[in-house]
Amino acid sequence: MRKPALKVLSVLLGLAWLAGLSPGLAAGQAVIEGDRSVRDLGSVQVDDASVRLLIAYSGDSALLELAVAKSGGPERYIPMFGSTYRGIPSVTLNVIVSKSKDQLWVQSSWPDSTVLAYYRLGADTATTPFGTMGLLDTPFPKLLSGGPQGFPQFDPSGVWTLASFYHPGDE
Amino acid sequence: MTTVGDILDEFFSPFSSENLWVMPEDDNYTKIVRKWDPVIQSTNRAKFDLSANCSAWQSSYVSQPSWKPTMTNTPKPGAYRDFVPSPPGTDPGTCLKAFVVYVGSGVGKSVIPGLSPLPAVQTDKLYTCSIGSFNIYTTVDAVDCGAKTATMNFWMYNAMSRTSFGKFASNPAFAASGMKTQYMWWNWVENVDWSSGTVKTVPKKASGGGW
Repeated sequence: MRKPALKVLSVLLGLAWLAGLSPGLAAGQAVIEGDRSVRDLGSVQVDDASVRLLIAYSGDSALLELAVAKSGGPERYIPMFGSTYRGIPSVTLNVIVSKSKDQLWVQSSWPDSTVLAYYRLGADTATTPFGTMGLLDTPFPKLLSGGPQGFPQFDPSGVWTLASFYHPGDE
Repeated sequence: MTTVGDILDEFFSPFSSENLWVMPEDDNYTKIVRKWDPVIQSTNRAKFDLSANCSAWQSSYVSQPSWKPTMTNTPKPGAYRDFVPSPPGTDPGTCLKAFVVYVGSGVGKSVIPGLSPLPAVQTDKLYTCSIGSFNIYTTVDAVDCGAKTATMNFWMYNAMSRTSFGKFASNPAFAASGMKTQYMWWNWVENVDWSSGTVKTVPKKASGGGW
């Protein structure tokens, strides 16, 4: 049974929100434009390539991504997880690199999603949960469509964990 | 039957708690989202991919009956996925209008005793505004790549969270509001046939027998 007074309070609160809705910024986020911002989770260097983990916030969504750049060139982006609210759940991300330094994997602490990205350094494509795809020119794609088709496996003796990053979650 | 008012009331209530909303094919809310253009386009992308990469679906995206929706934001495993951030028509300006209609009818219902049996006006815009960004995870219950037919199983997901409200979550107006995350899943099944070269959705028989 609904309580009318509670209902009125609820909808008025909703109206107050909508009247002034403009997503705010948490600490550590850089404004890109409008309601878009980027949170830097950390970066590592693999020879002359830079690898950065980030969250791109836009509207009521967030996208966990890997950004790669070679020799000071422009960053290009590899999507790993799209969230339907302006936040990413708590996660630990390990950047795993082959000893030959030509391949890397991003491994998450989430159940059932252990590996989120595979990238052969210098390539124009990457393996993602959305399938094998070209690197993106923007961290804010309009949509992402595809499916996981298996990530290249790594031999634990042939790789090492270069860095680990913890995101405490946005709630 | 689920109304968006049920979910909004729970979210904004001072006594809000996390809830899992699972809405099957015959639910009113599911019928509404299936008519929403961003959802139609999203499912069309999945259908096109199935027709173009049937063997990949047969090996990688087969429905697992043991999987059940839960209160989690992590991805549904073993499924084709379509992520649609902030689809058109879910901007604050558009949603404000839908909310005004809802608030107006709700207040009228509350202050005029004679109106109490009337339902609050919940437009289709209010339903879609309350979703905004979404993911659709798709698998096949059955697929025949030779005959070019399949039964596709769609699970659409959205989380309504405090973080959806940015800095306004800390506004004093929300001091009394619980704003606990509402996990919403919509589920439906479609039979498709692309033997003609174009993917067509096959109407279900009245008896509901499927293939």
